[in-house]
Amino acid sequence: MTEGMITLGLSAVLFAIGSVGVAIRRNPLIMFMCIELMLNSANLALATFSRYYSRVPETLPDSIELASSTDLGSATDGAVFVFLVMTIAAAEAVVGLAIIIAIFRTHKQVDADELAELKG
Amino acid sequence: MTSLSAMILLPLLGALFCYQTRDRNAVATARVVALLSLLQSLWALVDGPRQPFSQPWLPQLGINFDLALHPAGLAMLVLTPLLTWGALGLTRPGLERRSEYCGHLLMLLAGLQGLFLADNLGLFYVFFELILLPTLLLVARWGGERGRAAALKFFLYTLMGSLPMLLGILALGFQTGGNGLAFGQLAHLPEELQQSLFWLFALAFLVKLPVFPLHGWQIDLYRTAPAPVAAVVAGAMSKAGAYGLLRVLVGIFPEATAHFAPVVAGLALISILHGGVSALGAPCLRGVLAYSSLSHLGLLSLAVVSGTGSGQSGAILQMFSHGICTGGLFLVVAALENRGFSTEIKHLSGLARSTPQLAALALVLTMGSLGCPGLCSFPAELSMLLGIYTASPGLALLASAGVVLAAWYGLRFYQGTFNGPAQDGLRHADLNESEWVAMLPLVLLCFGVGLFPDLTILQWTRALL
Amino acid sequence: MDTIWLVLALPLLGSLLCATHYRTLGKAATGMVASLAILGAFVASVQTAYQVQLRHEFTAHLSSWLHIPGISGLDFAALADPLSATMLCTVTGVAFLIHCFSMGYMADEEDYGRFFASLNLFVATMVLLVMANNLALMLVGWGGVGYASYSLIGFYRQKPSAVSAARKAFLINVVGDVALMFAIFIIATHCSTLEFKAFLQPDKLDLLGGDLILAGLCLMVGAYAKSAQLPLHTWLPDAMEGPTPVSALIHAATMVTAGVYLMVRCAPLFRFVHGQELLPMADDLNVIMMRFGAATALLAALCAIAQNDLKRILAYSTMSQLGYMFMAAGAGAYGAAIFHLVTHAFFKALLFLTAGVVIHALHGEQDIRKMGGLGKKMVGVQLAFLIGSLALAGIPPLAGFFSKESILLGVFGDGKSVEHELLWAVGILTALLTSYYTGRAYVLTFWAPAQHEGKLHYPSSSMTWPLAVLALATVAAGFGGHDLIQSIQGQAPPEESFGGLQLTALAVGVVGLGVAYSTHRSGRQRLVPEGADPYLRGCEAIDGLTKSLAASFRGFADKVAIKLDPVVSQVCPDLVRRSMLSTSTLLCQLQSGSLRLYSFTVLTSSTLLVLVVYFLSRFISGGGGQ
Repeated sequence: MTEGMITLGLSAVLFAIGSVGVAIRRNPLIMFMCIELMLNSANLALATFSRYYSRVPETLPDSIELASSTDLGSATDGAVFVFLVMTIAAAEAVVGLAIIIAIFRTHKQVDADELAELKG
Repeated sequence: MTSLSAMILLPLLGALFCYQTRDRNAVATARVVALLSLLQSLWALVDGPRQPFSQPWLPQLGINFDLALHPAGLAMLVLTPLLTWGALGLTRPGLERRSEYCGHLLMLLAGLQGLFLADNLGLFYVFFELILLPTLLLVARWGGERGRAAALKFFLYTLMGSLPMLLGILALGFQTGGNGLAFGQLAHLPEELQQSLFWLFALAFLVKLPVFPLHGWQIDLYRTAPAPVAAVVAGAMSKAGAYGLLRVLVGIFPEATAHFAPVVAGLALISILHGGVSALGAPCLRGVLAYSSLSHLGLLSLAVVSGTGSGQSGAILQMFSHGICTGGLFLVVAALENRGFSTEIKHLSGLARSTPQLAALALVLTMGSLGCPGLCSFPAELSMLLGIYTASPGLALLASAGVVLAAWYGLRFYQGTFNGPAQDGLRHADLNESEWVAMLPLVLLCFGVGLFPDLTILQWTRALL
Repeated sequence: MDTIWLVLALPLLGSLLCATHYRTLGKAATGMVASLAILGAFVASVQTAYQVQLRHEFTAHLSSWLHIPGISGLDFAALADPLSATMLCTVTGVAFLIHCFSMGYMADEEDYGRFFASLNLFVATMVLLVMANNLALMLVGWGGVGYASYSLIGFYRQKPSAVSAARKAFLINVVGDVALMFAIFIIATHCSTLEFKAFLQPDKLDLLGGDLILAGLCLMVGAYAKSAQLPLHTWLPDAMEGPTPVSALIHAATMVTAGVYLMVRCAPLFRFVHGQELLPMADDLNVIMMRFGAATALLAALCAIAQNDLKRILAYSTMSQLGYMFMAAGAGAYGAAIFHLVTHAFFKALLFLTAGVVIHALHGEQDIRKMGGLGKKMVGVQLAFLIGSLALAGIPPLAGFFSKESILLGVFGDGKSVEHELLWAVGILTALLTSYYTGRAYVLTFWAPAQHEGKLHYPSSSMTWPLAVLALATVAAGFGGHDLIQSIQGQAPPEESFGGLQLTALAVGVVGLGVAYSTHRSGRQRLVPEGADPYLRGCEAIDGLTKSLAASFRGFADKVAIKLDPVVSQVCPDLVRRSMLSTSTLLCQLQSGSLRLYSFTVLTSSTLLVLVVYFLSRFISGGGGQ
């Protein structure tokens, strides 16, 4: 088990926890936290790829072998993407929390099961 | 004014003009337009074959604005304005929103003229769909409380039939390459292609005619539509299906038609018998006419798919004769309803005493409808049954049961209404001038075509055969 | 243009004039216009007959009628030969006399315009039927005559019995029309022509092959429907609902004889000899015709004995005499059949018109049991009825004797076949019954003690002179018979000395009349016991059968229209609609509005999608190579 694989496994576990949490929990704030968890797991995966599976060989431990140096992207690709994801997560959190506060003001409670006005 | 495209433009512009007029002038304006359209068609007949009109429209799909006079459609080009003229003459006095009503009728006329003039399969489809809209509006708004449901049913049924036809047209367009979809170009298609596309087209026409299991829309529509509108629908619009059978199925897919003829013939035969028996039992006059239409058009379809020349020339004559007789009978029903009579047969009796002239016209039209020799349907039925007999004597025998049933329910229609003890105290006005002028041409044609069919209609069909 | 077209055009014009302008013309003038039209037609017919005598036969061609690919001979053309000339003269002559009679008889009728228009239209269509040179145009006349008969039987259109009688007549006629159409189809498909002179040639008839029998049968069914022969006879007794002149014209003298005309016209088809030997099956048709003719003659005569309505007696008598004509046609004695047709037209019209005068005089009474004692009061009428009855019974020197004689002789043939002798015996028996019921009608009406009271309504002169003319014709017609038979048959009738056969027939006639006179002179109403009635009225049993069949079919039709058709037109589309709605409702449950369901759905489906894509790509690339 290489470090990269462990980290990717951690990312998968975090994503799973986050997705199950979104599906199961009723409180929108908790659902948001789980969504943030999913986004961060994605960040973790991106960082992992940037660190362990990129073109810069001097950072790799000796036991890692690369198939070919041109197969992998540069290290900065993953890092840039992390920044983008974080920005989106922040924006989304702002908007989402604003919506929840507005809903709380009208309904006096926030429960995902009760908020079913978009029923078809 | 006399060109082919003008035959479509005149009613179209007339309709647009009608939408603008006041209610009290609307019917008169529309009648003038219908009369002019009739004169145009008669001139087209007398003038003889002329240069077809052709304008590119959607060249990538092969759909061009091609118009031409075809023998199968010639008779209908005369009949449709005549029926519209009749329908306008029998408009219910006091009808609301008359300018829209007349405008819709003229739009229907324009659409039908275009359908019978179209020489390109794509254009044919466009007009085939176009005639649905005015009919939908006419029945939905002036059809009483059940009009909307009946109109919707009619619309969905027809659409269910014609959307496969659109698919078929597209497939045909791809298969034939860039030659275009003009009828003349589509002859001699390979047989496998014909067979694979046959039902896509046949379904549309079998719904429009209609034939047996697909006739659900017909009974509701004929019961709820205003009677003059039903006259135009029964007399002219249902012939769009017959015309499609002749020009598309037999014209473009002859081998496939011969291959699938037993199925279509079976459906047609069931229509004949089911229509005949139901007409005998139907409780109201409109029901009798609806089922009689089912029966007669079943005979027409049977004759067309019999694949014989006499069957097809008889079918063309029958398109005209049936339009006159059934359209005329719906106008008679309109006259009765305008005078406040109910159309349930059990409530009617002995009207010949109070309206003898209406009774006389109704008698001629009823006799015409049931095929009395000397009137217009007789030569048609003779030719058709001869064609069917040539293809299969057994089928002809079963189809002739339809003839006997037609006499029975025809007499039920006429005698139930006009004969028998007169109801007391009912003194209604006999036909007035506008009604006479509306219905007399139909009656005269009934006699004329019956006594001299060759001079009038059939000389035009010789080019076809 | 040949004068033969005037025979058609004048009645048509008359009909049109009467229909449209009867109000301006007034009662008397309308009748006169109609009668003059027929007189003109009669003059033209006589002229045509004269031309036929000069030129033998000729065809007058007007235009082409119908164009059917592959079939020729569908023209609007008239054939003038001895047969059609005879028919034309008879029809127009008798029609003229009846028109004149009607002017007086229907003087009280309000709807005179419709009456005379229909009467003229009838003559026009009958004339078309007779002069048409091809089967299709003849069918136009055939159907037209059926319509005219419908409109005249149902003339009193507010009477339900008249309305249903008209309907019955029309429907049975339509059945005959359909049969005739099938004959047209068979002949057209095999012989490619419908012109009489063309397809009745041996080479064309040969083309029919096995279908000759079928064609002949179809022609016979058509003829039987029109001529009220068994089993399609049920409309004729009910047709007496029409006014009496109508019964005289249509149901005695002219329309019902159209069937006989058709059989004689198509004689070559029925007599076709294939090669050198007689086609065995073709002969069967003639045997069937003779047997049915004999059966009808006998059964109708039996029925007439049991009737008490004067017009019904005459109606059954007509049926019976037509049976004679069909017997003659079946036996090959076509000239005799036509001769009897002509004489029958005269004396039956005479009888009907006289009956009309009697009924009119008694203010509408038609039951002979309530008549009587008119002999002294209405001498002329009584004499006319006597002449008619004697003719019907077959007493010389009246025409009926000669024509019936020639038929019976023709049926007997050369005496070699047992069947023919048997049929001759049936004919003799029927003659006995005929003279009996005729005598009964005559005696009970005129010489029995009077059963009625009240003043008699004497006929006007316009009603009596046609009777005189007809009576004269009945007497005189017998002497032209020989020439007539010769011209129709094409060969002279067998020379007969006054032998045993004639004596039998004459004796039978006298005996029947004698029995009737002696029985009913005293006012006794029935000779036959009451119990025999059901057996005598066998003809009416078929009527009851058809009525119940028709009623049950109507009930079935009601069920189909009200219960069965809605299943197809309402229930099935409704099922489709409801299934779509329920599917839609089902799928709508996915749109529950619940966030958790949405997110769960998104997650699971995206996971599944990724897995599917992954395994698919593995599968595809795995199958591709490495």
